[in-house]
Amino acid sequence: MPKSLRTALLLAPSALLMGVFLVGLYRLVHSSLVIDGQFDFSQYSAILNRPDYIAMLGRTIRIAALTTLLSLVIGFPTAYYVARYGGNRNFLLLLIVFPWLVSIVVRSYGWVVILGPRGLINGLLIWGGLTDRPIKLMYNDFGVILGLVHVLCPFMIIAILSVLMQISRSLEEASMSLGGRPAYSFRTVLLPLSLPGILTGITLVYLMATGAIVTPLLLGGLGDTMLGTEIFQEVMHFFDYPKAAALATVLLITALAVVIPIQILEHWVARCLSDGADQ
Amino acid sequence: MPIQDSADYILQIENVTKTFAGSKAVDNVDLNVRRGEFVTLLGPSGCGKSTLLRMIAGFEVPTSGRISMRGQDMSNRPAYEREIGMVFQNLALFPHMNVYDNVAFGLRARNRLDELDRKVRDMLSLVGLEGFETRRTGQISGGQRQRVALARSLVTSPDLLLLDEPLSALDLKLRRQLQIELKRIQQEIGITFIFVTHDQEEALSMSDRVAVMNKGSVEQFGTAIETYHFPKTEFVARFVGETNLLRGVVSERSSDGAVICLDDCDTQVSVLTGTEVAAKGDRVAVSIRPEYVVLGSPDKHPVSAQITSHSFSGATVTYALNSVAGPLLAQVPFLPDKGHPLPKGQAVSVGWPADSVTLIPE
Repeated sequence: MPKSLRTALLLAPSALLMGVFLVGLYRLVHSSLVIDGQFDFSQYSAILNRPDYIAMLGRTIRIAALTTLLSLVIGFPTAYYVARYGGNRNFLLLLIVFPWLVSIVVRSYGWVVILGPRGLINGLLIWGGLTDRPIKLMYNDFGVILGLVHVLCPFMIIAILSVLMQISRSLEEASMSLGGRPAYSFRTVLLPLSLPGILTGITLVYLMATGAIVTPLLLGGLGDTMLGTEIFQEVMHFFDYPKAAALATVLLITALAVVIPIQILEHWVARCLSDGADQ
Repeated sequence: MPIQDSADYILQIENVTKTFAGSKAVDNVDLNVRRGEFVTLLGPSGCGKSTLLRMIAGFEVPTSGRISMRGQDMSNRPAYEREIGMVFQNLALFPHMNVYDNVAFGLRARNRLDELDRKVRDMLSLVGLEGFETRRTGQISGGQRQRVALARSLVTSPDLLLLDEPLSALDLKLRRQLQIELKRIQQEIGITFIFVTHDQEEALSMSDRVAVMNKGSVEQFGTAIETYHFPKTEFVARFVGETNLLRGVVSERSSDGAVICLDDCDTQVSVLTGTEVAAKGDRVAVSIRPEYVVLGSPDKHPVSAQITSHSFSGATVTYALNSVAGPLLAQVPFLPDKGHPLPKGQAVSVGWPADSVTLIPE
């Protein structure tokens, strides 16, 4: 088989995926801008003129940002512990990805059982006499963020872990032997070297959080939905495809506005971190 | 040697044991190192030498025993407060920093910023790396990376430097060159080096004293010459250089030596050194270095042997012999006019000077 043909065959699956993705993206933007063969910006002006949609966009960004931050705060120490664990690391990895084996709907319902008005926590609080009426732990932003962190944190952990595993322990020891206290070693050695993994994790978690549908639907309040859930409802309940497409495009743009700068930063960081070999 | 005050020791290791998952990596080690000494921990891989070094550095905590530096107990002192330098086996240069920033790290970490630039440049010139300040660590050669690691560890002027097999990744020629350079730098700035290696030649050529380690214990701690010429255990005799070990029983014991009757024959070997540890009738071994074995010897107890093979190494030739006392190695000057290399199967008589034989208790 000629080499060019073999290359073409090997590239075919990814080219197909890419093609379908681009066509879908084109159709999405197209259906939001062209209505009955006419260019029409009315969908967007309608969205931008509705304060409740603007608030929803703001809430989506805020919840996604908080979820990302919490995942980072929880994920980094976890990844560090796993990377430096002396025993069976694969077992810990299994524990981290274990939630992925359970459907996201089931996991979100699991939180309902724990956080709900008659759930585990409220039951204990009332039984213990600490409160006489249930505390609102879900159907609000708190419940959504908690659920999203639970679902998305493993992505953060694995993104950071893959970088930490490549940072030799002796680099930290070298820093210590040179008088670097733990905080100094972390700031000057571990943090800069793990930045590519941190940025990848932030990108992944932020993107998935902005587009989340199921978790906000099950754990969020009725009045304060997120954009992903709203798009889902426009399509499934109201069959308003142009409006859903316009909302999806807005969501895409807000996500890219954060992700593209991070990607540029990541490339720049990777170049600064390389030891300069083969350049 | 005069009795020394503990203040003369920069490092004292007392009864230190380290257990990993039930097995002893370091077993009851005692070691005192004087200021300005070049001490090598020598041993095969897994003998505990690196673990011992890591305990001195503060990266591992001894299971029992005590490590003191400059007369102070280090038990509760973390690595970053021990004021030592360390050169790592994989060098552990910071990949995200250039040569200058790598060297300056220790001064910045300790916030010793005055004259930082002068100190860094002095260090770079000590190791011969002026002009490399802005190079990335991946853009320089292995030998240069080695020098950066050394400069980085010395810039804070520690009085104790630990080196964990720093030359093991280099080719032989560069290794020899850096050995000489390390020794020069050590003498020039007069600090104490603790050097870990599994290469006995490296240990002998660089060290003031060598601690030969095996299975977690120090088998012998003495000068390079002592460990080579007067090995105290069979392991030391075998590990430090090549040797002929012959086994037998002490048949005579006098004030200035002993006579050993070798097994399976009636060969008698006179021994002058190391005999104080054995009594008449004890089972012992004797060590005779190959370079002391003489062919066609006029010794009073010549041993008859046959040449089984030879290997030529330039100035010398080493013969493998089959003698009545067992297999022997003889390393002799290569002299073509004396018929070297002697043909395989030729019968020769071999001997050795009595003062070249060391007795090793079994």
